Formats: sequence, structure tokens, C-alpha cells
Amino acid sequence: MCGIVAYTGSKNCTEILLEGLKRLEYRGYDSWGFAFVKGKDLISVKKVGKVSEAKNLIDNFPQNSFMGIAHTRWATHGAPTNMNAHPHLDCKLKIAIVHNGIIENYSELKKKLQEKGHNFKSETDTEVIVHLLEEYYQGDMVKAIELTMLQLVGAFGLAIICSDEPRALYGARRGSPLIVGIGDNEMFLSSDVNALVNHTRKAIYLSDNEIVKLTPSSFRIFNLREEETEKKIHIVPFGAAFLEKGGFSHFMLKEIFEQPESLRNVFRGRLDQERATVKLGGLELTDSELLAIRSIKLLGCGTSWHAALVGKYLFEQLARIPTDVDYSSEFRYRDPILFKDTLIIALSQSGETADTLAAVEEAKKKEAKVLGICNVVGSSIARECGRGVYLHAGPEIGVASTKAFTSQLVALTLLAILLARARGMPRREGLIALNAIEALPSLAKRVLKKSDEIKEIASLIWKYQNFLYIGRNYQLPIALEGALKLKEISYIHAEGVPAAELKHGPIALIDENMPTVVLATESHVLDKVKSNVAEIRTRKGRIISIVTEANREMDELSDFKFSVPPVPHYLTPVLSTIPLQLLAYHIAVLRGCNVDKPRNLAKSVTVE
Amino acid sequence: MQIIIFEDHLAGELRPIALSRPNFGISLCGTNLYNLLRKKGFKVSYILRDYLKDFFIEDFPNFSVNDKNLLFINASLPPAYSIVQQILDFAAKGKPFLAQNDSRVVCAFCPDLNFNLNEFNERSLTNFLRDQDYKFLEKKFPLVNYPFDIVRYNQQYFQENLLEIKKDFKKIAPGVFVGKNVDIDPTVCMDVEDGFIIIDDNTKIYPFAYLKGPLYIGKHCKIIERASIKEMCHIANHCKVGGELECSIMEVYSNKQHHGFLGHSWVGSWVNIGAGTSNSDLKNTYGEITIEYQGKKTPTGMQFFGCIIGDYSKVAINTSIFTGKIIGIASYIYGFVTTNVPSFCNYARSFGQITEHHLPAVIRAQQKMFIRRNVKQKRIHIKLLEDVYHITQGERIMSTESLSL
Repeated sequence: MCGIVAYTGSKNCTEILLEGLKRLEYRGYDSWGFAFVKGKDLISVKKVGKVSEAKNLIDNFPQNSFMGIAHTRWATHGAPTNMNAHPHLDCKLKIAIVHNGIIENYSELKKKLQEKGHNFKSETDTEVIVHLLEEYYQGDMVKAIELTMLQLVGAFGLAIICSDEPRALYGARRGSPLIVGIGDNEMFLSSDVNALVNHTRKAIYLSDNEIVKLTPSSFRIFNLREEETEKKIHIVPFGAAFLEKGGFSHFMLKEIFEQPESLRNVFRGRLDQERATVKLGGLELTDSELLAIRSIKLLGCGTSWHAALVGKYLFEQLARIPTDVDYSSEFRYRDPILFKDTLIIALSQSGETADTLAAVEEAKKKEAKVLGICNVVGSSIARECGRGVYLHAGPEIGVASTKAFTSQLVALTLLAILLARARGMPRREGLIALNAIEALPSLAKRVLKKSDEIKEIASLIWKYQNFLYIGRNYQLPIALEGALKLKEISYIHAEGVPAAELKHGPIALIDENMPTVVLATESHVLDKVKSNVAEIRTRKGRIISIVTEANREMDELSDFKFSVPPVPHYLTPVLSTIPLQLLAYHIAVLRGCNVDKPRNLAKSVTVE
Repeated sequence: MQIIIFEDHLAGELRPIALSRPNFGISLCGTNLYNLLRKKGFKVSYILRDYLKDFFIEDFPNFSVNDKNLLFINASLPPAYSIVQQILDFAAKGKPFLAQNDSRVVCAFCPDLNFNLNEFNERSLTNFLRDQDYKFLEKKFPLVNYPFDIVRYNQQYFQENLLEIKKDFKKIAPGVFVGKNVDIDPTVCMDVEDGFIIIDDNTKIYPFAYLKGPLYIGKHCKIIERASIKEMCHIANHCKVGGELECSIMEVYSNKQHHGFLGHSWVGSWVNIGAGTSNSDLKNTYGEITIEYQGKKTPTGMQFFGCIIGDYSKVAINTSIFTGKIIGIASYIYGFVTTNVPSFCNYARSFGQITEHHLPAVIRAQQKMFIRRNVKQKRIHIKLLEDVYHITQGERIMSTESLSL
């Protein structure tokens, strides 16, 4: 998830691009970069760091440039370094591109291009695009883009300039957003309208597999058959501040609604349908090392610890590997016993969580194999582990983790399938899992479409001072996570407990003032959960249940009900988390809490 | 309304049955899904694995989609008139729906959808359907998930299907319905107490055969003298059948000419079963039969289940096939069959041998069989064998069990 802004027109574009990038910084802040056409030359400036730092270097930028492209990066392939920052240029330094998205088949393309003599300077997936353009460019850039797009598998929004055409700006998209802004004798391209709104309200939203050619006074849009297509010009209605959050009132809500996209990004390019398994490039473990793993220990804090608990069920039930979960902070001071064939998996969204980082260092001291699951590429934990799985969820600004959590769940599922298939999980079951994972973005969208139902429920229960969350099996960690979300942002006391543990203590808390959120999706333990719910009902407790669509078993036991689509039971946590995130959000808003910056909390806990 | 039958991501896993045929072309209950829907008067389009498309285009014409009112049906749906009618009744209400069986899409109705058949394959369609607007149906429909499901559903829906199918045949005696040019020897004994018997065009029943309904015998078949063909058998076109048969399915051009028992089993096309061969379909314990499927013990939920024999396989004389064994495509088997048999193997385990049955030899045998049956061996026939050989390569690599005498 990176930010792109590009300009061709009659004004000096440096300030325009800089201001545009600032508005896009929420999409990525690892590095920034610009490329300009100046006369017959391309000039590129790029650097690791925040966009605000670019201002200090503005003197190095060309003064009278009327066309340029700019980028703010959220690293996916390749650490945040100057070399990996965009734009990327071809070997002849004639073509420059900026890219938002992920190219899945970049390694095979890179190999082919290297064999043809292309010189790669970065570790990014993006660089293959500019070398492909170089390969195909023979004076007609639209044709070159079309041929390049036919080679690419994955998602991309691109802005392209070529020194042969000092006024022509090109764009192309598939899967990642790209918007054309139409000004007065000037044109813009951006991955987000909020980079445009200070200059124009007229916008064209490009569709997948479309190519656009912009000059200061014209725009032409082509499909992949080189046919010119007509597009509707939209008038953007909102103010710039609102748009920074993508039209949502809070970053947290925006990030909840980004989950269809973040879920797709975590499995993009990682599903191997032919072999009915999973490919995880950063794992750095041979097949025999994978088979030699006899036990797994998962480490995390807070929400990541809840993801780790789901991981325990996944690794034990799918791959049949004994698995433990530890709080990072407890693990590190316990002088833990580790065996050579134990795999340690450390989970952290930011990759900077101090306790988890220290736990990883402790495990490494004991010569354990350590693997990291992080969102931030090149973060301390990712570097310390040296091997791992990146989430590619994009920046998470809201302090309460939402999209990174569901991405962690999918990353753990991918890993479990890889281990399970190597240990004799039937091909058929592997294919069922891959198909179900591919369905998650659509099904998450389906859940989000009904978000008003949750808002309605929230409006009826937001005044309660205490909540219980219960679940069993895969849904127990989701009960814990739901309770944590509510605590974090609404400051309501909430407790997550295994449904069957109620009668061993917590049921004493039940009365008409203690509502219970029940995870009651279809599974082999649903009947057991129903019995637990009946025990609450007889004590006048109110029930808010999360159920499976088209399953009516909880109808009579629930005061409020929200349904999620059916998926294999090991993927239900991904979908049933979403209504709990929304419930916490809406209750917090109704109580007037600062959702994005809850009191006493920080996004990344870099202290013990 | 137009119907689109789709294979999904699991279509190719119904091994070995669906390795060489569309799931919608598997015979059971007197028909197959494609023919059932055509019989109902629908133009049928379909999504099929690439390597099978050319081979089956003549048997199953793929109509272009020119309607926006579309009913999608999974190719693994058992071809039962009652199930199809229930789905059609839901569609008649005009509201979009989607039904799942576990995590497989069974059917989906889209009343206003621009759909281009060529943009989808068996891996992409179901998630496209899940992306539409619909209501999940509470109703659960069955799907053929495992090879033994064919034998299960064949028994479950046989009787009711014949009630519909008999309408296209001429009644010649109470409970007996025949097509054109059917030759039944006067000594043949036909028992219709438990169900109808349907015998299709140009089939000959030789003297002293015993036929017990419900039973379907296809076109151009020969039922050998003294054969005992019992209830719920589906014998597809051009088969020659003798000995004892019960609750079993034989696909086209297969032979079981001599004595020996075949029960609760499925036999592919171009199979030859030697004299004296029998299979077991019941455990000595009378317990539930468990099969080994893709390396995992899988309970069938059935007390009676015999075997699965893939296309082009040959079973030597006096072979004994143990309960619940799955024999791949183009394998030659001898003696006691106590384990599953991968495709393209010579299996004589009791004599200490499991070796690869090389592709050129299979192609040569195919040519000889085709000549005997006046079928011209074409490039597509050979290519299908080649494709299946490559797809099943993994089975042979995995079969590394040590050999013993």
C-alpha cells in the first residue's frame, strides 16, 4: 500500500507533488521519491524517511519542471532503503515509474530480464516493470505498457514518464486504485483523490486493465486491446481533511473496511493451486527442516497474542504439531526450555514490540529457529528473526489493531497449511483450504455491507458498564480479542472466557446488567455453546450472538444476532472478528471516546 | 433461464473417476447431470477443466451464454430429478441465492448477471459467485465428494429417477420398459417387484439371464447368458456383462463377460474384467467400511461398498479385490488386491511386483480395443491418456511401499 501522485501541466510541479505526497503519507512512510523530466533528461531524487524530510532537500529538485511523478512507500518486497525507494528507472535512464501494489511473478520475470542483460539495482518487485517497459518500448509507450501488463501477475497502480515525451504522463492499473484528476491545462494521477482535491474536483476512476495517456490538455484511456474507451468524469464532493481517512470518520473504521484488501494482500502470490499448498518465500527453511519441526512455540503481546492462540489451534488441528503460546514478556524471563526441533514464531504488527523483540533474542541465544510474522518490512523483529512472513496489510494508524490481526490469522493459516501438506494432509483438503482463503475478501466485504446492523445493536447496549465474551475452540481467542477491543477503545470492563469455564466462576457475574457476546458459529462444538448460552439466559443475561448465515439454531437464544458467511471452521475467526471490531468501534463512538488515540495506549509498545 | 454447470476446485480430486471425464458426465441412477438437465429442456453451458474440453465437446455440446437469468449448478451434484427440481423451484422464485455444502458451492442463482463463460475456470468461478449479491439457502444439497459417494447416491436416487426416465420408453410388460430394437430371449427372468427395469435401444439379453429391478441397461449392450444383474445397476452403452452384478455402475465399452461377482462398485470405460474375478463389498465384521483416500483413512459411512476401477484398467482372471479398494486408470491387476492401486501400474503385489505400466503400451492396447469395437483411435484419445498419465505421476512416485512375496 503505497502512495502515488503525478503531474503534467503548465506549473512547476515540485511543490504540487510534495504537497500531494504529504496527503498520501498515511499510505506509507518508509521512503519517498520523485522523478522529473527536464529537457531530454530524467532527474530522480529518492530517500529513506518521511515525506516531511523531502522539504529540506527541495533545493536539489529541478526548478522549472512541468511534469513529474512521486511516491511514498510502504515496503513489501525489499527493505526500506534508498535503493529500494521509488521511482525506478530503466537501464538507459529514459523511463521512470512509481508503483503501488505487489507483483506476484516478479522473481521469474526478473530472472528472464537479467538473462537478457538488464541491470537490476533494487530488491523490489517493482523494478521488473520498468525493465519490461524498456524491453517493449519502441516509440509507442501505450503499446509497451499493454505488452508489459500482459506479463504481470498481481496488483498495480502505475505512473510512468519517459524522457522522449516531456509532456506525456502515463498510468495503468489492475487491482490497485488509480485516479485521473482533470485540471485547467493540467492533469494529475494519484492513488487517492485526496492528493488531487486542492487542485481539481474533476476525477476519472480508472478500471482494471486500463491505460491512460495524459498531456496537459488531453486524456485518452485505452483497454488492453488498444481500444480507446469512454469514461465518466466524477465530481469529488468531499473536503480534503475528510478524504485523508478515505471518507471514514476514524482511521480505525477505515482500517476495518480495508480488510477485504488487506486479506487479499496477505495471500496474494502465496497459494500454489497446482500442488495444493502454500509458497512462503521468506521462510528460509528447507523441506527437510520443515518436516523436522516437532513442536511450535508462538510468542506475542496483546492482540498478537490472541492471533497466536488461534495459531495453536491451527498448527495442532491441521498440521498435528504440538504448539504452545506464550506472552513474550513471560517467556523472556522464564529461562524457557527449548529443543532443537522447536520452531519459535514471533508475532508483532509493528515488528518493534520490545517484549517480543527481547523474547526473540532470548530464543536465538538458545539457538532456536525463529520466524517472524510482522507487518512492517525491515522492522527490528523481522531483521532479528531473519526469516518470516510479511502481512502486507499496509500502514495501520488506529491504535487498536484490526486489519493486521485478521492478516495475522491468515498468515498463520498459510503456514499451518504448508506444514500440514508436508505432513500428509490430503491434496483435497489442501485445495479446500486454498479456495476458502481466496473467498475471504469477498466474504469480508459481505460482512462489512451489514455494518449498520452492528451499529444498531451498539446503539441499544452502549450504556452497559461490563461485558462478557465467550467462545470455544477456534472462537475462544476471538472472544478474548473482542473483549480487548472493547476495553481498549471504549474503556468498558470486558472479559473474554472459554464458554465452558463460565460455570467454574464467571457465571456468578451474570445478571440483567451483564450482557454476553457469544461466538456461536457452526462447528462441532455449537451444541455445547448453546448449552452454555442457555445457562446465561436462565440467569437473565442478555445475549448478543455471532452466528453462521442460514443457521437458525441460536434464534431463540439471542437478544441480538449478527451472522457471518459459512467458511471452514479454522477460518471462522477471520470473519467473526469483524463484527466484534465494529461493535467495539460503535460503542466507543457512542460513548464519546477518542477511537484512534485511546487514553494511556500507544500504537507500538517499544518499552517493557 | 439458462443453466451453467460448473466444475469447481475439487472436480479433479474425484480420482480416478473424474480424471478422464467431466463430473457432470458420470453415469448414475440411469442418467448423468448433463443429460438430465438437457432432458428438462434447458440449454446447458459448462465450465470444465481445460484438458477435457476438446474431448467431450461432441458428447456434451457447450451452448453459448446469451441469457442474464442464470442458474449455476455444481457438476458434482448427484443427477437426481428430485434434487434438481428443488433447485429449479428455488430459482423460480426469482430471488438470488447461493447454497453451500460444507465449503463447496452447490448452486447459485443470479437473475441479472452479465456472464462471459470464457473468463472463468474451475478455480475461479466459485469465488466469483460468492462475490455476488445473494441469500444463503438453509437447504443443504448433497455433492459427490468422494468416489464412494457415487455408489451411495446411485442407491439413494435410483428408484425415483427411473420413474421419470421410463417415460421415454415403451412398456412391454408390467414394470419393463424398452427402447427400439431390444432383443430379450424368452427364457430371461425379470423381477420387477422392487422396481422398474429399463432396457435401452439395440440391447440384447441372452438366454437364462436374471434381471432384477430397479435396473437400467444402456444402448448396444449384451447381457450374457445366465447373467444375474440385480437391483440398482446402471450399465452404460456398449457394455458386455455376465456373472453377478449388484448395485454397481459400469461406464461405456466395458466388459465383464464371465462369472464372478461385482457389487457396490463403479467400473470405468474400456475396462475388462477377467473370468472368476470377484470383489468384496462387505467386511467380515459387518462394520463401516473405511477407505484410504489421498493417504488418509476416510470412513465411508456405508456397510456395503466394493471397489472403484478406473478407465482402461484390466483385471486378470481370478483376481480378488478386497473391500473398498480404489484402482487407478490404465492399471493391470492380478491376484489379491489388498491396497489401492495407482494409475498406470502393473499390480501383482501378491507375486511381489508393482511396476509402472508405460504409456506407449497403454496407447497400443487402446488402439487394439478400439479396432475390436469399430472405434477410430484419434489424437484426442491418445492425448487424454497422455494428460492423465502426467497428472497421476505423483501417485506412482508416492507408491514406494516395499514389495513382499
